[in-house]
Amino acid sequence: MRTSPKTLVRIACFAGLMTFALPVADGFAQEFTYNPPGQLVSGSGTGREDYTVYVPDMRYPMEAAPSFPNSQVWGRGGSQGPGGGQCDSQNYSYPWWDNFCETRQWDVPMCPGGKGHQGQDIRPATCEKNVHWGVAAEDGEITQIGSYSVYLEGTASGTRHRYLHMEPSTLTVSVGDRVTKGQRLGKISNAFGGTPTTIHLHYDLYQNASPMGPSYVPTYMSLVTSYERLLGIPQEPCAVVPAAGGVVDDGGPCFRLQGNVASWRTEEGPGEGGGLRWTYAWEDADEDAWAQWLLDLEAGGEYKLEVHLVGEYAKSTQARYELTHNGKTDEIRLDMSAGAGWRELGTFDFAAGGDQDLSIFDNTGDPLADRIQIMADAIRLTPKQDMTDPPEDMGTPPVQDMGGTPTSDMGTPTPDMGTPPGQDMGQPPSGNNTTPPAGEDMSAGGGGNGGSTSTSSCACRSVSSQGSTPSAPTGLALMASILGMLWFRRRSGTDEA
Amino acid sequence: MNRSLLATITTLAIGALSLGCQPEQDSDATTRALSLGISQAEANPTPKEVPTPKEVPTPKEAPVKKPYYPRGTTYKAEIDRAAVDAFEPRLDPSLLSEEAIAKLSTSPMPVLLPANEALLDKAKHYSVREHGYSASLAPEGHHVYIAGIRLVHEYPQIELDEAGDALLEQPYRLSRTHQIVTLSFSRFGVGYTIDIECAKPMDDPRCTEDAYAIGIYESLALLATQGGAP
Repeated sequence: MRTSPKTLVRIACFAGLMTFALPVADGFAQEFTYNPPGQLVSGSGTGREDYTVYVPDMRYPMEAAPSFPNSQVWGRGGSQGPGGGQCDSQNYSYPWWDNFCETRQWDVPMCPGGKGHQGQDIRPATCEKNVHWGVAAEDGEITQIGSYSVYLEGTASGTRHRYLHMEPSTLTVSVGDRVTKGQRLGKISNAFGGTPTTIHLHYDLYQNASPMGPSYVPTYMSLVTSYERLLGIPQEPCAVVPAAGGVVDDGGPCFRLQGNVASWRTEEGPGEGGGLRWTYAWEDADEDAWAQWLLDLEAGGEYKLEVHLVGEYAKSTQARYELTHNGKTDEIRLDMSAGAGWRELGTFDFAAGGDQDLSIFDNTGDPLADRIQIMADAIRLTPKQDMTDPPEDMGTPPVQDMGGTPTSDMGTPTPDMGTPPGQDMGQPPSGNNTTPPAGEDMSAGGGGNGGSTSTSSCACRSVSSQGSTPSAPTGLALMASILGMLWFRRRSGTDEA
Repeated sequence: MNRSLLATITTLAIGALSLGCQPEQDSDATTRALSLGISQAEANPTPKEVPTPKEVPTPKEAPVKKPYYPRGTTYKAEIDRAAVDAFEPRLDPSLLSEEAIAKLSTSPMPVLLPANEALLDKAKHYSVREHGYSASLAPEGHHVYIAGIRLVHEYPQIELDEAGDALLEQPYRLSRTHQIVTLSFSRFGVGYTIDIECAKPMDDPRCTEDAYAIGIYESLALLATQGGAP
């Protein structure tokens, strides 16, 4: 059979379109997005906006992606949900939804109103039970296995990781077993003591956490960051120092008060960026209060490192810093009392990327009784090739000020308790087949505290380990398809002629 | 249809499709705005904000120096030895095996267990760790888990609302997850928890009601060990 030129044109057009369209669909299918912490499904209570990563280095508790944390009760197929079944594709799609503090009657001090759901419900990749593995989130010991629970006490973090609803017959561990991070524990199922629940893992974190004491703590951002690691998505730095250098201010996202933070005072007004921190130095061998500027550099190389001092608060003659840079750690001493303004600590080599920081410690050796102050304000990095201008002439530094702007802070902003507590607390999610809240439509993405934002506009991230942006390869495919089509059109025109 | 027209329409369709399928974002500011759930305008660099003043002690007062904090925000809680010494009741050691006593004696913190022979007879596993201890008990039809945690995670950024603060004034807090009862409390400066899980969680009053958990809490006795002694 001879294929007509017109058919060839159609095939070429179709192939071109599919070449373009399929990767796009695949890219979107792989795109990981999550709603902000504390944003619960509409009507399911008031969440806790908490960006703290309570277990920073944990392994995502399911072996493989994708995985879909969202509400079992207020999702499709849930007793308070908008209808449908638990296997509805809406339940198995991004973005993620936090459901810590979802409406419950139980005491959880960190939840608005003091009551709520203690953990996070997580659906596996597909709506199949006894297929997907739950794995150890950190090294530790299995200390309890109940009818539908597994307790893992983390060795390093002192955190209890609790896994509910794995199928008992699939468990690969016993009480007393030592496990390593990532080790398979059992398969995700719907086990619930003879009364099946939906297919999901209820996962929670329990710590002796000040100021609450022993408590369940929010899981969401620990899950987000561990999932990003699982996907191979680079962790977002608090901010990146540009290749041209920059200022990292104590009012910005890369500054951390550490240790006994109550020892630090904040002064508004003086200092770079409108504020500074100070404390008294002391003579103890160990630090009590310390502070840290996290450094993530766009480009490696040698940089001059300076600290900004205000005379009234910079009194120690032996202020103690530690600089971690390019795999090395140096202790640096500075006579703060020798001058104010930008003071040089030295020139150091830095690597591109993170895991670098400057810290200041209060254990300088100065007697506490003498009330000798140390201070923390802004620090400045200037690449070596830009050092022709003396520091004191850098009133308008050739650097990008990174302090105080909210543009890149994925760290730990001050928790916001959100809307007033007490809402939605009166009706626990008991009973079945309850009529969904009027007007609620999860498929439309309406959700959050008061339904203030939509899913599409508030998803926290648009990144993918697979590269969801179809630009380069699909752009080439698009160009090829157009050229192919034109060639066929030209060729068919020639044939017909 | 004219071939040129057809080709033009097709080309335009592909172009439109390519434009329509472009994902959102592009600028760093937009990506960051999305990541923060804030508007583009808010994400654009703006003059630095004055840092929010923290609640701190009176500036002229000397800072209170707490025990050494390792790097990060965790530390081992100081055990209130006087409270330990004064605590009653004490656990009858005959309720435990010699092996269990030997293991629990190495606990880094005081060991509380229910003074209940029926429960302790069904002990499945005792664990002692760097940061605490636990007992896994498996009596008929349910599981009881008692654990202590000495390691404190300090989160200065955490703020509780009035209701949350009020909970901390209570002697213990009760919660449930899928009918597993958790009773949490602090004593001697460290943290403890009692968990109860039932084989028939929806029907067993030990899980559907609070009384059983509270009864175990009230029956706790101190094992005479050097738990947490310097």
